[in-house]
Amino acid sequence: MNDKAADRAASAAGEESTGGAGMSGPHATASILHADLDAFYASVEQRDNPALRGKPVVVGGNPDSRGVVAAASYEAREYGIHSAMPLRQAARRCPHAKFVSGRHEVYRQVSREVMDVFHRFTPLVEAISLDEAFLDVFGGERRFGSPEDIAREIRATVQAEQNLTISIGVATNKSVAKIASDICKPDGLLTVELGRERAFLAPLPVGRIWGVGPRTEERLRALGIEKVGQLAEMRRAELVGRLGQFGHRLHDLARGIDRRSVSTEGLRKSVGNEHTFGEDVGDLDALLKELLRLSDEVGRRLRAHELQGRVVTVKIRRADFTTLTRRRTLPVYTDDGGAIYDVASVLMRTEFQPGERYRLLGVHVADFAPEDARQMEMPLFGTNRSERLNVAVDGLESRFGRGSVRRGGLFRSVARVASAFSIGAGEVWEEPA
Amino acid sequence: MKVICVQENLSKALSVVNRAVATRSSLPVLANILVATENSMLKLSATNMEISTTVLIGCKVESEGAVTIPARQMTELVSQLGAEPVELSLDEDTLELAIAGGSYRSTLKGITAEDFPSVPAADAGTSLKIAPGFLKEMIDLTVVAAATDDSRPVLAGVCLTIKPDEIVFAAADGYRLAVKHLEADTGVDSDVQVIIPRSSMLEISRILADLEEEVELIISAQNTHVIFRVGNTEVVSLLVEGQFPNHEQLVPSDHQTRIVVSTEEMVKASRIAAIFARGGSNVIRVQTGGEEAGPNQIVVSSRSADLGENTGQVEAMVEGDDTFIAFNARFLGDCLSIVNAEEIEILLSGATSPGLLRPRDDLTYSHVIMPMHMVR
Repeated sequence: MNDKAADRAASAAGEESTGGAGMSGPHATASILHADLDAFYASVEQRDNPALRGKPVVVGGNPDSRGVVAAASYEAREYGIHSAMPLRQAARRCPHAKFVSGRHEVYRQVSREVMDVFHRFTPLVEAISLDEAFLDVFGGERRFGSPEDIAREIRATVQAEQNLTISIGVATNKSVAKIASDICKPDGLLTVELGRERAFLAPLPVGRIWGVGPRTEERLRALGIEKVGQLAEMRRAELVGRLGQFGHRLHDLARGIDRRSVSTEGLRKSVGNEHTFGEDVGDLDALLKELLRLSDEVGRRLRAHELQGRVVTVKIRRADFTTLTRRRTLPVYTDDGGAIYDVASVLMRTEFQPGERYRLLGVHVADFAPEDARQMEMPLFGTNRSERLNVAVDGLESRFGRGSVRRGGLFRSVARVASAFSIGAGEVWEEPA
Repeated sequence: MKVICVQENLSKALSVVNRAVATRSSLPVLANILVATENSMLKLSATNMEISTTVLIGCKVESEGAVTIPARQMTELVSQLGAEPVELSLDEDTLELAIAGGSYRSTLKGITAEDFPSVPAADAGTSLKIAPGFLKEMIDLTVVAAATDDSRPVLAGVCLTIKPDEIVFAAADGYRLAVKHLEADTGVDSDVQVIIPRSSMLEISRILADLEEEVELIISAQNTHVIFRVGNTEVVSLLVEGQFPNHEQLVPSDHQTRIVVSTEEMVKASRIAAIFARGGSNVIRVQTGGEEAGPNQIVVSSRSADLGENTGQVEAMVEGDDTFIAFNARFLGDCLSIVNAEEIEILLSGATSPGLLRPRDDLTYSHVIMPMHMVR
């Protein structure tokens, strides 16, 4: 982690009025995260092949080929190798670099799993590429802590589950969050608090701003502008006169203003939840119990997101790390944890092998219903039991926090329930093993 | 074992039992058909452990015996033989069955009959007789509403209730419910209720299509399985354990709008609407009154954001309030395709209450469909 960078930025950022109601982002607090896996492809290769660790690694293919560098490890970057550089040139700069061809299936899978980590903290995840995403964690304090706590938790989780480092910038808006993550890379975390955006940006070269490429940089240099701070102090009209429409946007960005919200439109394909057991589990009942908890959680997230899906996927990872996924399509769309569990448990029972131990379970729901129509359920087993229950549970959880309401089946034992009632405290709630 | 039988009878029997053969099983013998002599007849039997089908055919038995033979290959082979007598002879030592018909002679390697699971016997339980046409109609009108997934096992079957004065078939998947009543003097003193798996019901329906003899239906004393016996064919099915939901109260007893429409016209309108529904929310809208629909018509419509949209005006008799309802296109299509009547009656109570469809003035059948709730 790069706490020094954070301190530097924080101390550099003097007090500054944001000027009346001028909000610099979607929310009046620094709750936009930009999360970016460090040298993603190269890091995955180093992770999976010990022989590559600590060495300059270039992903892209044979150095004699006409291809370009898809990713370079930090060791390779020391030699001036960067993405999009021709492989031959990279080979000239560092003849002893390890050249590997990419394994895109693997990168996609790892990316999916990392995106799933993000989704544990917020449904508002905008994936920009395989290794980069914006998250809006506004309103998540009660459940997960401050945005910086969430960023810390995400970094620790990605490290623990994927053995990869990820850098995260936290700010009031996308532009500043992205610049913050760029600056704290690799393996860093940097928060730019509300009101400090402009001061944070001021000393940076203009090229740091998203959308400012070499050509714009050149034109600005011709005007004697090299730092973002100079850009921010320019009159808007002059900037627009020099750069056209883009000048408006650039002027805002230079002042740390970016009102674009984190958009999940058309990007989100599934809602899921996974759990890695502290110790591998071989008991079917314990697995089913965890599956029920995961299903409930997925149902809760679907409802929070106003989504209903009909393809239920169960992911099962055995102790030897072999992983299998099984899916089934429901006849109608659902957002009910019980209905999801019914299907998930059938799949789990089918795959379960006595004597086998399991490391991870996941439940995912995909293929969402069009937003305008919802199939109504027939009250076969009582009056819309699950629908009404879900409304009540969601209401309680929003008031008292996540986990304040649990299914009876998720308690460790009946005695626990009894004691919970007799002392009436939430402290005895226990996570299933 | 050595028997001689008519090719056509053997081929037909094999194709009937072949459908009960387990397609994917870890027990090799379940992929085979039991071929055995019994009371001077040839018995052919297959099972997937849920359903067992047995057909007896007449033949000339020269010597007794039994073996199991790979189902698919034997069925295929016999179906290709000409209309000449087929001779089956078993080498008891090698378990090879020689099949000779016309100018073709083949041998198929079998598995010992001792490995074949025994089919539950017809013990004394509830028994009744029913005409095959009635039984097939009851199955076809209800099985379509049974759940196709086994996440809630009791819904993945048809609930059969035998009352002293009637037989009731019912199926529901959580979104629709189909109930068919048939008046009958059943001879039972108190109600008997069992759930028959959907796959067994479909199989019985298929077998009944060609038959005219009366069907004997026997429910085992312990309510563990049901036997359908018709002519020389017997189907034994396991029953689903559990309690079927009480469906009587789920059929709406009143309505605010009554629509009577030609079944043929309604089928056409919904098939056209389904083209667009499939590309969108899978919704077909039915509307009476308002700006779109005249006094003696209903409007059936659908739209897809990508594809386009469709509106059909269907002549109808409409009584009661102007209304609007949205149905899942598949559920509506399933219902319309099985109702065998000139006119169909659609009883509605607004956009968020279940719709009831049935043949006009026919109180013995109810098909209830939950609507789609339109968010915008």
